Amino acid sequence: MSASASTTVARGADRGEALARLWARVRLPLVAAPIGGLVAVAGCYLYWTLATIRVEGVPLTGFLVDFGFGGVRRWALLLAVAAVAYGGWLLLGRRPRTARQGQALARLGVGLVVVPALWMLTLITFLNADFARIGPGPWVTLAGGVLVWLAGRGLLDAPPGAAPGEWPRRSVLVDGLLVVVVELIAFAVFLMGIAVDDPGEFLGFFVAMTALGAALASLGVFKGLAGPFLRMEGFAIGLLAVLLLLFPFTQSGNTFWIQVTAQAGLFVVAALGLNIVVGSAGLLDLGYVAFFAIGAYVAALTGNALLTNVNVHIPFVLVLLVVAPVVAAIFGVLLGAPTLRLRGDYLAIVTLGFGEIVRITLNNADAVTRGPNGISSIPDPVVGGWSIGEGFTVGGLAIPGNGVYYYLELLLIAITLAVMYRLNDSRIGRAWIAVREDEVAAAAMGINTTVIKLLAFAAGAFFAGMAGAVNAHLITQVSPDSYTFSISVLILAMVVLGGLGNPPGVVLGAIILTFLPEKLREFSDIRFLVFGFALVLMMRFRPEGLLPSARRRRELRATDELAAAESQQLFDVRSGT
Amino acid sequence: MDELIQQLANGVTKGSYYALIALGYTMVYGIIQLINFAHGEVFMLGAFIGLWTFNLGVTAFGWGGTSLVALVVVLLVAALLTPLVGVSLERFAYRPLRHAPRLAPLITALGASFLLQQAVAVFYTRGQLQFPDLFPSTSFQIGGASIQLLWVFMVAVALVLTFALTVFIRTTRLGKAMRATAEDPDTARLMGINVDMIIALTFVIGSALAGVGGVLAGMYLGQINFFMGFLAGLKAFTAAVLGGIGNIAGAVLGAFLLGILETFGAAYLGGEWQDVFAFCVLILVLVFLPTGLLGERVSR
Repeated sequence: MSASASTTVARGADRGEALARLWARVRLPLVAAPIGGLVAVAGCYLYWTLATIRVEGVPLTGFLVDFGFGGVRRWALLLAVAAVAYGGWLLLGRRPRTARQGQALARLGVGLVVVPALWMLTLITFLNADFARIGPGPWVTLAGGVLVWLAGRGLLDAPPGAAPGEWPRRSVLVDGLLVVVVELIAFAVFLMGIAVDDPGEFLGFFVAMTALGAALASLGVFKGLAGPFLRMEGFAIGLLAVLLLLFPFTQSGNTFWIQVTAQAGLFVVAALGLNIVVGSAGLLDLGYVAFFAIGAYVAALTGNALLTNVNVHIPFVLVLLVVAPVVAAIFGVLLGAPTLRLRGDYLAIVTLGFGEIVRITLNNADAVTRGPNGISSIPDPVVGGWSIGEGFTVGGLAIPGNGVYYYLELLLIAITLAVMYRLNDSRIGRAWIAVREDEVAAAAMGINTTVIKLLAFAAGAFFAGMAGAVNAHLITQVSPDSYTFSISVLILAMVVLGGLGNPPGVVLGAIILTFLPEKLREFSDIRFLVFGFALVLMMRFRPEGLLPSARRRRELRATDELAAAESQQLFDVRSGT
Repeated sequence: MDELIQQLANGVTKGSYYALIALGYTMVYGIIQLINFAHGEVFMLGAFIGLWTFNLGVTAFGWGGTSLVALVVVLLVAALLTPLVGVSLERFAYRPLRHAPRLAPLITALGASFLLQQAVAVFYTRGQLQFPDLFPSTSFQIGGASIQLLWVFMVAVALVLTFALTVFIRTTRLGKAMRATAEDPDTARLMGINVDMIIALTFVIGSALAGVGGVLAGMYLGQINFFMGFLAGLKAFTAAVLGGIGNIAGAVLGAFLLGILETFGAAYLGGEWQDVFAFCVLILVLVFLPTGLLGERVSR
């Protein structure tokens, strides 16, 4: 007893000294952060290029020569100003600094490094500029970013600070206001992203937003926001629905991004389906595209296509909600029944093989599928005499056909999400998690693991079939080439990037990975290269994805620096009392 | 009968380069229980490195046509450079995830496979490249079937390398350490074995064999592309499972068997169904014979 008391005292004295030493070190970072930010601001106002860069004779306006800011510099400046403001606040404020604040600063710093670095890289690799053409601006910004990053790293030694929690209720008004403001900001960022046309500038925008989001996340803002959002769940969902319904009206007649958004919606549904298989049940399905293809071909064969060998017609609503998904689910069961007893990695290979078998069969079965030519000129679906491709008009504002597809997608996503959340809270959902975490223990608890896994497979295939059915009509043709292994990997990357097992994360992942290639068409050659790289990097550095579910995060990541520090703090408190 | 012998010869030849890839799969799986998806890409890179080496030789030493020197140099360079790829994969992609849940390294392997494939496609070429005939294109007749000398050479290389590998694993200290690591890495570490080094060595050997396989496949097929590793890798994996994964002799047996099965399948079902046939074999083997023909034991 006395021995433990004396160690406690000694530990306390040590800690006092350690803290004093720590403060001596922490001061420097506090000064460095705003200085680094100011340097970066200065960099944004310096020349970024020394000569106008011409692409096929046209001067590129995205890379201004003259003083001022435009293009990518706008987004570097945003980060730099954030670094100055936050760094200054940390320097002048009175409360002791925490490691979380350091992490936030470091993330801003990384953003400030990546924006100019990426800009220079794209300039040199894709526009064939050389280093002599690059002005001092990006280098200075980069240097400022490094300083901010170092400052943030320096603060990581400080105590971690209170673990972020949900913000408590103050009043309904505050909660409601927070929900409205956050959703409006999110919507505005989305619209801004669409409006940024220049690919180089878009990269800057994307990195800046990611860095800002990451910084806010390390300060626990999103965790805190979960409080008001959960308390006002109905209102938050309603407002989101209204904003999403308004989206086509913001495009002022330009249908391109509505089409892309509709395409993104398809991938959201498909990715949510795959998330059931990979995220919830933990079965790696590498042939997921097969179910998507099956749904698309069912819709194509029954959709009155002009160039087809089969003339069966089934009403679209029936195909969409019943025939295509059910046929896909049946194939899911057919594949799953014999193979689900296999261990995880063998299953991955089998599903991969299945995906290829389906694709090659579609390619070879000329009599039905028209082989490599595919089925084309698939008309827009007709619902009750109204072809949805005609669009409609509300109060003088015309909604084009792909706007209707967009709304259709919203509906499907809503249905999918509702089903998923209900499933996840059900016996089946819990059984999926149990099977994922420990199959033997799950079986010992009386779960019929084969049936449960089969259900996950069928459910995943069901949603893929649904998405595929819409896809056939949206892009008006299907051919085996559209359903290759790469698409399976793409959908998997969406799930992994967003956050395995967490529906909002998966939605985000699908949206990002649909929009990014569209925005960066100039670099479309390298997109699968980037996806491969992203998969490797994600698994290495953030296996739980951008928006992880808490449970999955704990599973996938044994040692998180801050989490470890937190539990250490917990230990210290206990041993002190 | 002639037809039968001809198909058999084709199948066995195919089997020889499947075998060289399958050895890498089976060794890596035996030691860290990971399906190294990127292994097929190492094979593909082996073929490309072979081609680059040859082109370099043409400009530097005026190689041309068939030359035994060129053949040996190309094979050696491929076998020496592909391990760099394999070891980097192990070091930077798989080792940090060794204690992560199994889904994580599997996804990483998939990503790495994509990365390597696309790197060749983006930075080099997406097209088909002609692979030079390094080996004299003489052939002889056996009962009416025409057999190329190259095919005999390929089978011989595969068998000799397998034999050498077996001897290495059975008789040397390193081979013993490898077997121990496969058996139980933690205990092996306690016995003073440098487990990280042994795992890296496994990748080195596997990649070198795949690199040789890539060059042989390039000569056999006559042309190479960035995508060739995907199918070949999958089939080699099938072969490894067919023989019993983790089992050296099994991998080779499985590879020859799969090569023959596939050739006959293609001959009787039509060439366009060849891959479907191979995948059906894959699924059937995994479902009904998951421990393989020779059983799933580690290099014993």
